[in-house]
Amino acid sequence: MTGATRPTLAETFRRAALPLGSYYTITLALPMANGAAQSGSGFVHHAVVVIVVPLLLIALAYMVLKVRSAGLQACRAGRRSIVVIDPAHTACTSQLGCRGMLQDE
Amino acid sequence: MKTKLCVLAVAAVVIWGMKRHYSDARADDLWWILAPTARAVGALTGTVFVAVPSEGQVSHERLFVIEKSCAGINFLAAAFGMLVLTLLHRVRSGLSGAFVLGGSLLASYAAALVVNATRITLAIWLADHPSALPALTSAEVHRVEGIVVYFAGLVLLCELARLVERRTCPVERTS
Repeated sequence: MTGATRPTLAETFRRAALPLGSYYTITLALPMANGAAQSGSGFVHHAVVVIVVPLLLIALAYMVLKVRSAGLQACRAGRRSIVVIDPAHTACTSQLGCRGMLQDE
Repeated sequence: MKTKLCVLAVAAVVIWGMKRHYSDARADDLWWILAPTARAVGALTGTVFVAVPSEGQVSHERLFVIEKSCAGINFLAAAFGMLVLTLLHRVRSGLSGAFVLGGSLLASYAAALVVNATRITLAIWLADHPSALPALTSAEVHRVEGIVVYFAGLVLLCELARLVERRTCPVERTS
């Protein structure tokens, strides 16, 4: 998952699978194995929060990565078009951080 | 393969031991993680914590207690298991297996201190700013904050381990 490729949601989840599995094992599977589920609705409510919050975090991370990689690709596309139109302008736009974006307009 | 299974078995016993120790321990028995965590939180927030027998680390000034349930043993266990699984492909002999287990234990302990200190520092800030999340009760905020910080800490630790893996043996693992 680099800046060069757009991450898919499945790829983001696959990448987070090991931390997610470790977290669920320690916070849910082991307490359930020790009989925590028999303590009633308190554990069920806790379990729902423990399951949902990390999934939301992964979805949020996916959106951030997607926006970031889309920005990077737009920058690269902009830079390529400058080279074709006027290579001399690439140097003077380097201070903009995202080179070439303004030159496309 | 046999060595890897042995390493996994030892890791499982260590995690079981951590959980067992945690369930039986009093706050005083967890000094090895509560005291350095309190020092780290003190360094981050300027709060002074003192050890109070059977209570944990107490800040009288902020009325805040780092008690047994704040020790971060669950994070420590999860991080240890995750690191062992990440580094398992490096195990080829008993010695390399011992290095993987020892390295994972040290790294997970260090990560637990950092992540737990971050979580408690954030909890102190949230306690000082109750209006930051008005839709949730303070208990719910504390719970969600704990899940977010611990899970994000695990993801970052896993990414760091993968980065170290790529730098140290780039040929063996391509993904």
